[in-house]
Amino acid sequence: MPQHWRVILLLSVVSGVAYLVRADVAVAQERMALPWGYP
Amino acid sequence: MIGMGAITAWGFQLSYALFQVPAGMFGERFGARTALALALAGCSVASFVTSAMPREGAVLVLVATRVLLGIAQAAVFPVAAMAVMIYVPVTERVRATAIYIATASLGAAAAPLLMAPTMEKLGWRAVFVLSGVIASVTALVWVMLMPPRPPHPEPNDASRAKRGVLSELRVLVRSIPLLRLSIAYLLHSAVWFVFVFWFFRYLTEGRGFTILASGFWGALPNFAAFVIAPLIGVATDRLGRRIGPAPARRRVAMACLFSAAGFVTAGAVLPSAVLAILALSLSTGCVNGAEGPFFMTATALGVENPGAAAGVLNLMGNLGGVLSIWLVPRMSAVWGWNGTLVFWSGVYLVAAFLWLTVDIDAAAPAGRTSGDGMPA
Repeated sequence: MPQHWRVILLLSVVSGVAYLVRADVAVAQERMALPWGYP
Repeated sequence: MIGMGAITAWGFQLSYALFQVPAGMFGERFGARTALALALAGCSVASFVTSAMPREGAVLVLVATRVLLGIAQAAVFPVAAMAVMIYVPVTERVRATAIYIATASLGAAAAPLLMAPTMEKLGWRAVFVLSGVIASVTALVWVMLMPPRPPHPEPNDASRAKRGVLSELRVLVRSIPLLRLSIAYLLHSAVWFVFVFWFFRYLTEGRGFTILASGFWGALPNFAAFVIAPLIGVATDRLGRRIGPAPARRRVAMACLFSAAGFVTAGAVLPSAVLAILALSLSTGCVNGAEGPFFMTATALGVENPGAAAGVLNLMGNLGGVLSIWLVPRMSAVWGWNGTLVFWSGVYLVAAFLWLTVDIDAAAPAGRTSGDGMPA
């Protein structure tokens, strides 16, 4: 695999994971117990 | 009472927007490998700390971790755009950008599929442990597999260190082409955020879909963006070989924005709900296809400051997003959804015409090439 395609693949993994991680709270907040409850 | 959704959204969004330019500058000085490794490590720490959130001081911890996550993730797009500029030949840069931006949509779409079952089985803290582990593993993979810098110098040389942050900022602020491009991107992103945040509500309120059906149809724009944007990237690069990369980026971006405007208008006026959704999905595909030309033009205009220039672009994009998130419910209450969509299709047209005011030749000063003989 040409080097620049390896970089593109790695950048794709990083951006995909970044968006996955930032969405975690949207899923979890339904069950997270805060002092005033949710929402 | 402030809702938890508001705390998490604003804690993240504010720090994410404010750190776009600093994160791009950091990437220029320390390299893509270090910058994105730290970004992933920051994501990981934020997730693990959230997973251990105590009941006492929970709000403070939640705000702090979302701010940390925003700062860490601010590096992703500016540094990735800079890395494409450094590692990828100019003839393949738009498709490269389109691919990693499309994958971001895939990551967002995968989150509920992966995390909802985890929460059902193991509770909400496991969701954050899972995302922390994923970010940590990705950081390791990134550091191990990211190739060393190519022979031509990465823009973090000694002269940059000597020049200083303030003079770099001055150069960026004085770049009229970058400013015009960023305003076009602000408008482009404002409409994109309409779909990201309000499409589901449009389907239920404007088209009378049930919640379940809205969930299914609501995923279609993201899927369309994932498929169409890389194809537009390939087409842009091919056109670039014939007419030059900079004119090709402008031509394709304008075509994407014009097409998106047409599809949004069709989505507003078509009587069939399904056809309207298809039209709106095509519009999001076109808009996502314009991302590559936008980012690659910004990095080219940034000349020696590609990371910070991409940061300026994404900062403006996020401002546009905040603006439209605030405006849309007010507009739909007054004009209805059809009037609101027609308005935003007009915004696309303005963004398209703004491209004509961008001096794309400023992207390739005399003597500057991309390393493969073509002007940047």
